[in-house]
Amino acid sequence: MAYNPVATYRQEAEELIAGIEQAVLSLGEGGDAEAIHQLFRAFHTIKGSGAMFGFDGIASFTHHVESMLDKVRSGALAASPRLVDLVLRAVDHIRELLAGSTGDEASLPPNETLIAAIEEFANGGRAAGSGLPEQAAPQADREPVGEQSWRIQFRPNPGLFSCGGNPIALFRELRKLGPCEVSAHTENVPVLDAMTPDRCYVWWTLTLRTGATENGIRDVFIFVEDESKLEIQCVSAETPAPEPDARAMVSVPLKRPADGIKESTVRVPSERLDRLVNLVGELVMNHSRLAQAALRHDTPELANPIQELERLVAELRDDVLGIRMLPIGNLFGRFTRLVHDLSAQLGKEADLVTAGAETELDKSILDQLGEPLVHCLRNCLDHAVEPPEERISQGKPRRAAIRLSAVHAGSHVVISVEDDGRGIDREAVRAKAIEKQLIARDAVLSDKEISNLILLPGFSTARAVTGVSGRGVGMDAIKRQIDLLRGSLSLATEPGKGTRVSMALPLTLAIIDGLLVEIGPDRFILPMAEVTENVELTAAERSRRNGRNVVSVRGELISYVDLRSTFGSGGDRPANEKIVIVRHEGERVGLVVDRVLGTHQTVIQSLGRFFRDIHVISGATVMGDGRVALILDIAAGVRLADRADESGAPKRKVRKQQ
Amino acid sequence: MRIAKDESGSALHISGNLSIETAEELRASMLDLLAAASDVSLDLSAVEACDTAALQLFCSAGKTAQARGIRLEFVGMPDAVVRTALELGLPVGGA
Repeated sequence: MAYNPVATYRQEAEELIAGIEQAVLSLGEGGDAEAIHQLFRAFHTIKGSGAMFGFDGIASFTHHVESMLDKVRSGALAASPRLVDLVLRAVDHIRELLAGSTGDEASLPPNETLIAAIEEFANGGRAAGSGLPEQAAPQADREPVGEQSWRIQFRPNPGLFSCGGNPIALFRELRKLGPCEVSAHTENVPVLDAMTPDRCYVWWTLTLRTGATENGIRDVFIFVEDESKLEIQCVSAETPAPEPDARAMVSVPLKRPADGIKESTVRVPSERLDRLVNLVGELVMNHSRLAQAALRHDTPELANPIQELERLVAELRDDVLGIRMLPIGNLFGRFTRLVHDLSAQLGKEADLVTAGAETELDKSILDQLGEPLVHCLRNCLDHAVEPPEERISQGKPRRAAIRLSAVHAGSHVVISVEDDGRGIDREAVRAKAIEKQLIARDAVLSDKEISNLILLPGFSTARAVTGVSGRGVGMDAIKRQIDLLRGSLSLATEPGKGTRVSMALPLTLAIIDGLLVEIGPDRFILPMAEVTENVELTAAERSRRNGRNVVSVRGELISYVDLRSTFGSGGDRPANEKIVIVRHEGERVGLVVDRVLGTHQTVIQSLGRFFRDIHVISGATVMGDGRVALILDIAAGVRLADRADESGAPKRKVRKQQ
Repeated sequence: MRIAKDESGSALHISGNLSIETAEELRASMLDLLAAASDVSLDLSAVEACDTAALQLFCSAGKTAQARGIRLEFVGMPDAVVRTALELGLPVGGA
């Protein structure tokens, strides 16, 4: 596979930009030094690697932003909403440049207005405080620090050259800060026979006279600092630095190494991981074939190695799936910006509060989660959050708080979007549902059932179609997407107080633990995570309930679905059947099968396009003996139970008794 | 980078751009040169540019020659090489 530095740069820049957006929006809440520093670092990296890979337009544009941030960092300018706005516009522009250029040509013209605005802020920042943009001379405005002499000892990592480090460029950069004397130490250079020419044996001491701070000097070495030894000492302080800078110098560099921001990571294209997962899947299947063959031939000496193999394969499976796990925070970062922009557009005031950003989810799920979450947040801002005046009149804080959180719950991750807005107007929902003939005029529905109506296709109670949402692509679009991910969606709302939309998603889509069951000649897999218990259903019990599909489990009445009739399976019904009780969205439902065969590591294979309309089945798996078992979709199974009830009178009332 | 050997085998004429990519080739050629005679020279007059790795190699060649008691002379230092050496704080002129 060819290594493509330009693609890598784009990818890196995208990540950095996401980080910048998050950091700059957190600035609004206090403007701490760490966030400013992070911003500066990110822009510096975009600029530096941009120049390295031929994105000259980006590099020269970013330079302006960087100088502006440098002043904020040194305390010459204060962080303000104007700064936030400029930085956001700057990253938008960098995105445009990234999209428009292929790396070797500057196809887009630089955005002169934006550069001018940035320059103006950088130069007139202090004047802007007094209301008059005084024409400050840019040169006089530079560093407020007196010149100092610095002794720098730079002992590069021997691999400096091979990671693209170039001392010549570094020292040129240093000379831009002030007069600099370089002396090289060559005592470590070996004779030719013993030399590896791509290693760096030389180390340097430099004397630099500059007005820049230690930070400023350190930034020059930003790309090589991690692997190299860098000592910076101030050797003279004829003009002592003013107070704020002295503080900045102490606090920031101390924090940096401790944070350990850079971890040693390897970038791997996700297709390779997908392939790895597929291979592990086949390994799992082959293992079960082997196990069955050994059982058939009754060879005890195979039993031990096969058991050991099972353990190893399971470990390998967990590790491989673990590699694909990514923290959901990457996704959350994008939304801070979204909420900021949308609320401005809608004339509302809202803050996004995130929690559980470190929660990990399979990459393939994460990739498909962005869209439903965007829908959700839009709904929140458009429908739920009231305009500021209305909020105040109701005694709520002016700014709405939207909470986006992720938390682990068993084999699921629950992501919820919670607002403190007006809640769902149940009467409006009901009226709309009757108007659309979704429910009968006299239907008796619980509160929960009414609010769940908005999950039905084409449902929107918004009176006007706005640019943000309300085009009828509503909650049902979200629900469908979540269903595709084998997740479930639930709603809780309290009028006047707020709404919470929760999505429970499986940790992974590739391999699950399943319960293997048999109905007649067919085998099915039930996702183990949703199975709670198995009970026996005797023929006597079945008839005692007068044909009502209800069974009593330790005092609780549970309705069940007869899978044999659902799938029209052949064969005779055994005298004693099994009910597998599954839990779905807090409800317990029984599924009747002939026999429970045991647990099964299930490699999920999709059934392909032709079967996508069959909702009861979410996939298939190949068994050890080469037969195919279908994987039941529990959510659809529960719906099936509901439908059976509609035709068969009031059996399902049981549910509402709890 | 191009390296041409003198007929006598005691001089190398190096030209072009000396960089990390050509460093191994340069090292091998210089080792050959130092094994060939006890009074050798490196002609750098046609060198257009060089990087840190190349200068480090010349430094090493100097040390090798000294250790083996061979006289090694650098001939025709072009400005580009001198400038780079100065920028890196390396001694110029085989000193």
